[in-house]
Amino acid sequence: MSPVERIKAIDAKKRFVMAVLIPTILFFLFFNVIPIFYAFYISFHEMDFLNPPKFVALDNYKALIGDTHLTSSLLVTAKFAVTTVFIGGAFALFFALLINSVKRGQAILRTVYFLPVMTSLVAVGVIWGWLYQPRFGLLNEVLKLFGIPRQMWLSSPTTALPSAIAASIWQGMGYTIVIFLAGLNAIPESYYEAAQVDGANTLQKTWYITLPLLRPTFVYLLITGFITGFQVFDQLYVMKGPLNSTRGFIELLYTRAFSYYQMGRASAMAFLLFAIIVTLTLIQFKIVSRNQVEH
Amino acid sequence: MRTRFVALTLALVLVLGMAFTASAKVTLRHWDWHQPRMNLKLKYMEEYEKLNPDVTFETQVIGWEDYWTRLMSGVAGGDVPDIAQFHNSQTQAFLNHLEAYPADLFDYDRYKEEIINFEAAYLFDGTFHFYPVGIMTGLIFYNTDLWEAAGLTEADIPTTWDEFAVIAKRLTQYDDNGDIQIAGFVPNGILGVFWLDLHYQLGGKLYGEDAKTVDWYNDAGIQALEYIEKLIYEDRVTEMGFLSFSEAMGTGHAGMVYSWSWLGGELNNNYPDLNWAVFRLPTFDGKLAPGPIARNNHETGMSVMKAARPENKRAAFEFLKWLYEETDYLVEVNLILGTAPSNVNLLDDPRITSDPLISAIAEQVPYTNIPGEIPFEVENDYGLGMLEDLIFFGYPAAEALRTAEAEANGVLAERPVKWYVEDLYTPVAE
Repeated sequence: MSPVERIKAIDAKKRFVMAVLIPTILFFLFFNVIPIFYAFYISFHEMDFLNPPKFVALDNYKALIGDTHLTSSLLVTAKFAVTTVFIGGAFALFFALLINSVKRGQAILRTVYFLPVMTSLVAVGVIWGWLYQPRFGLLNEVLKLFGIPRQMWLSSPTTALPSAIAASIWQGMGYTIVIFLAGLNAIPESYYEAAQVDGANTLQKTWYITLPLLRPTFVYLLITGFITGFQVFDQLYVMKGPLNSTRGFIELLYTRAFSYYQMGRASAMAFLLFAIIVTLTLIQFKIVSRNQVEH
Repeated sequence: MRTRFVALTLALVLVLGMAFTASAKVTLRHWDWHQPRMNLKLKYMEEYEKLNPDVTFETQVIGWEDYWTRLMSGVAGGDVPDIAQFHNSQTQAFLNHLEAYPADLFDYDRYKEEIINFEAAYLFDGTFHFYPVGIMTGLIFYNTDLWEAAGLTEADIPTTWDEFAVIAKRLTQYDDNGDIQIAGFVPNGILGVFWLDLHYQLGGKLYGEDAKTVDWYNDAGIQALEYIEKLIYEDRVTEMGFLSFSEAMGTGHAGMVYSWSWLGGELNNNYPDLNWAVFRLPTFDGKLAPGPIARNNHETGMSVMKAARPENKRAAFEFLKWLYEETDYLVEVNLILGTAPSNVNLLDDPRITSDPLISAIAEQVPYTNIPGEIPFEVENDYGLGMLEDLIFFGYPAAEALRTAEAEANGVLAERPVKWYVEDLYTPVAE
């Protein structure tokens, strides 16, 4: 059979699916897969795109060891990821349970909480930067009304990162709430009715029914939250704190690549981050795969 | 048959003639990141096209953040503009990709006489690759309304730092809680750069020998930083967490700020209702000579890319020769940028002398020094920028300098400076 005859032999539906998929696959190949392999190649070279590349074997990776700037930026990123996942998740669960308990107006509440998610991260960072302004910002003016001394927020190395994290939690919470609401809606009402009959109160229903049956949702949010958290850039770049207290890993990578043209070193950093995220994801999978709860 | 042959021959002649005409036309591509400057260039390009019908221009404005990445990608991919607007902060990265200005068109000997800091700021191995346009330095900007409200006049403009501190205190206003409402002087956001100028005034330098390290932790550095500490903690003319210098000035919350002259353009564009003026930096002894009393940097002009086609390169240089030396472009672009012309012959131009900002720069510039390249992280996150954070976080001056110096030296160990000209400054006779 010739290639043309083979194509004609495939039925129209399959031909349509291939016609739609092939451009997507090609796009993915040229703009994702190939650049990733090329970045891996670059990571073994001294390269700035302005001069011929020089093979340096593992020097770029060795330079990452003992790089104090890298270590401190990784610590900032890790603190950001852990805090946004757990504290952000806790707040989101709380609000999701509240919204779920409301009989009318759930759609409006969902929209209100989701609005910040649709806002540009940079815009959020700039606005919060103004709210946090120690001398003239709105937050300190509100604190003044309650007799609380003004805080330095983004202007102090000790409070800058927590301030940036708080703004990020506010911005991203709506997404987590929506995911939790979907999980809550999947729990059959009959379980709560049975518990009601057995005399369980609200707290007991939440602890023995809701939380265990939300486990798949927790797993999803934990894994995706860490993956996203470790790649944070916009919020920390805009809401800069003093003494590099909010300088994340991706910002350092970006500076090395595009301010210093150290493409090889930046690529090595990218693969280090990839290894960290993959390791964390595998650990999480291993932990959460135990004690599965089913309906 | 004969008619066909004649027609065919005529058609061939016509086509060849058109091809010849088409190939004689040169299209010069140009990139810049500064829209107002590009608008000025477009005016002159239109004029040049009328004078030289064989030359046309294709221009593009690319934002500063993306400009150098685009240019780098262009170099790597072989798609560069013929003429690129350049900035000397990118010298180390791009110098090998810039064509040298040809000596048969551009008079090197004359430039050595006429261009301020020509050898230090522009010559690399005896050739220059971007045209000298203007010079920028740090000045004191002040709010004239607040100045007048405090009962001050032009006669009160300080020439020493002691006088400056008195004026700053007089301009500072506090609210009922004792918080600063109007800061008398705001170095917030630029404190490290301001400190460097004071350091120069006390005999210090940015770099140690051969620019392998910085040279900040010394008596001059400590004295300069202690002066700033006194302004913050004793005189209380500003505080940690106050608005940055540009925001404070623009919103009327600062009596005075230190800034480089680009702030003038920003204030005019974004805060047109603000009444402001400038004066040159005071010094510890009131004198300017022998200097240096501050750092300067050059706002450089355009470069011709090495990867441009050979016939385009010559056309590009001929255009630049015309633009820079036969038109009013240099005066007009310096007025747009808020810089003093690099060419001493232009400093007396009435359009320049009537601009108070540029006049202040012109007064100060002969006493300023250009150190050469300053790596981004030395000027910002791990050097001069860190100094500000340390001072506002309560570190004593000596410890702040020692810490910032160590961080900056760590950066230099990884990323050595190649263009270093700090020692070429010639002291001015008193």
